[in-house]
Amino acid sequence: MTLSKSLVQPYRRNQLLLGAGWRAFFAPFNIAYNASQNNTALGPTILDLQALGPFNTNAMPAGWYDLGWINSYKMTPQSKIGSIKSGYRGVTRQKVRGEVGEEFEFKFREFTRMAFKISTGCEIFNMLAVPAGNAQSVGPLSATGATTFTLGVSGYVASNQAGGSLAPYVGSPVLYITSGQGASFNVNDKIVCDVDFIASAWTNGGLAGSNAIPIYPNNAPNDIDFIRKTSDFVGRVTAVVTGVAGQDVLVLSQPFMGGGSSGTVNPGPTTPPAGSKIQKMSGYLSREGGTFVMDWSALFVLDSLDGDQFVQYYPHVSISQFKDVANWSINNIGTTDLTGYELDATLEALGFEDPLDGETVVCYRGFYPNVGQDIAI
Amino acid sequence: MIEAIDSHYRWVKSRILALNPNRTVVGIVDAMDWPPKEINFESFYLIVLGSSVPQGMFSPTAMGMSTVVQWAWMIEGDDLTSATRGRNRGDRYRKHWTMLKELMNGLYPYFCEKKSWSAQQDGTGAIQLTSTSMNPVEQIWWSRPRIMPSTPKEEKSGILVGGIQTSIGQSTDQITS
Repeated sequence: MTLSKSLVQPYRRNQLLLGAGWRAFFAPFNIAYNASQNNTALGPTILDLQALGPFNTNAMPAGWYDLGWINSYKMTPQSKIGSIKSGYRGVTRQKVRGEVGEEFEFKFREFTRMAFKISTGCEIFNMLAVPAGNAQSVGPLSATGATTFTLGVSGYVASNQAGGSLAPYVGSPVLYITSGQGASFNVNDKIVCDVDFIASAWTNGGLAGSNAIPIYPNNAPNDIDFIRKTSDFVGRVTAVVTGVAGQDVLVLSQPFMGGGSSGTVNPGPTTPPAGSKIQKMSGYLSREGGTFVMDWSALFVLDSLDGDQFVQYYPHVSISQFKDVANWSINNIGTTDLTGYELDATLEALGFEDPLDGETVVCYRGFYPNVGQDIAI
Repeated sequence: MIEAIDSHYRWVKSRILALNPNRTVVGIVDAMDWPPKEINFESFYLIVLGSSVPQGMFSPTAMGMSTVVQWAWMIEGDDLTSATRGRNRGDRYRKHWTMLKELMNGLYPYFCEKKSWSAQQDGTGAIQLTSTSMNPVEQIWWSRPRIMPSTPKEEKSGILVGGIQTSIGQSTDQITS
């Protein structure tokens, strides 16, 4: 006699979801545009889960950035399902959906500028290279930045295809600057590229730059470098090539990422606009406090050993809490133990009205089964 | 179940040989048969130590199984020639780390397809290995490596013994009756 399934618990081995953890990808959210719309579908970086999945995590759709090695991803559903009770003894007659919400938390094992920005939820200030001897005591960020360099007519190219002296850098991001200015740069210089901030144009306030930095009426910062101080268009120089089409070229290690806010167009700009200038920078910082809150679109991907892919797409997320610069222990053989430090972030999924049917949701969880996997049950 | 050990061995061996075609990967031995009577120095052996069923993955029909294996090698060094005297065979250190690097590369990415392996003689008498995928396709995985230190016994013998332990995980064959 065949033994009962409840006794022997057979299972299909390729239906187990075994993987090596989640991978996080973030994309810009058009803060300024979304602020002026009633439609919550305008602002997020929309991801077509039907056309684009399963995702090749080595070649993500345009605008999606790999956040590196993350750890301890945990989501906390906060949606409420209420009960309608009636009749004798108040038995539950119906269940109805109430609040919709979700929070999630994870730790960034890689300590990067973007990880810093997402986990703190703040605008990140680029510490511009200040001329020697120009330290001031007005405020931690009040110093005027060092020399600006002019963007060349060829501007920024996310993936160089030019040959000649740029042939070794095919596929690399490059920044054209005015001829002769290349001599001012060295390999490994950190730079930022964005436009000047003209305070007089912001007397009525608004959201400035591609990061939608709030400017208050009659209180615009009197700092021409303000947009570059808050810009995401930063990079590290890996080579300087002179005399290319009458310009010099800075070859960068990574393309520009972030940005994405515009009051007039959607999606917003994710590269430096025309007329941008370049300045060197020494580092970056966040300020705990202020009024600025960062918004993003987010995607978490889990690939199983069998080739399934489980994804969680949040069209609109924002910071809930910057929790910690947490420790993680590294046990060494020997007398000195090293400690790792990771940024711990908690974020909340915000509401999104699905254009398909108008329903209010906060997250899409998709599953792409592997070849040969049963899907009916 | 033996397919998991065989598949892990074939996977790691192929990656070691891709990095260093001159390396010898001898074969799989049970712990009771280690060390063998005739030793190939500077060659990899895979020793099978023992298995267990991990908590949380037990079902009478098909369960998870974790098998501890150890990749091992012995190095005597060769700086000294016969009838000469010297302080030590100093190149054991360097050879050991070279082999360690080859094996660490071989273990990547810590999972592979589980296949059934068989050996057949071809028309010339040579042994040909053939593999067959499971139906449906299955994967096996193995844990982060534990690098074994040399024991004092081996140090006094002048032989450096290298080892890396890992645990191979799999789902066992399904038992239906």
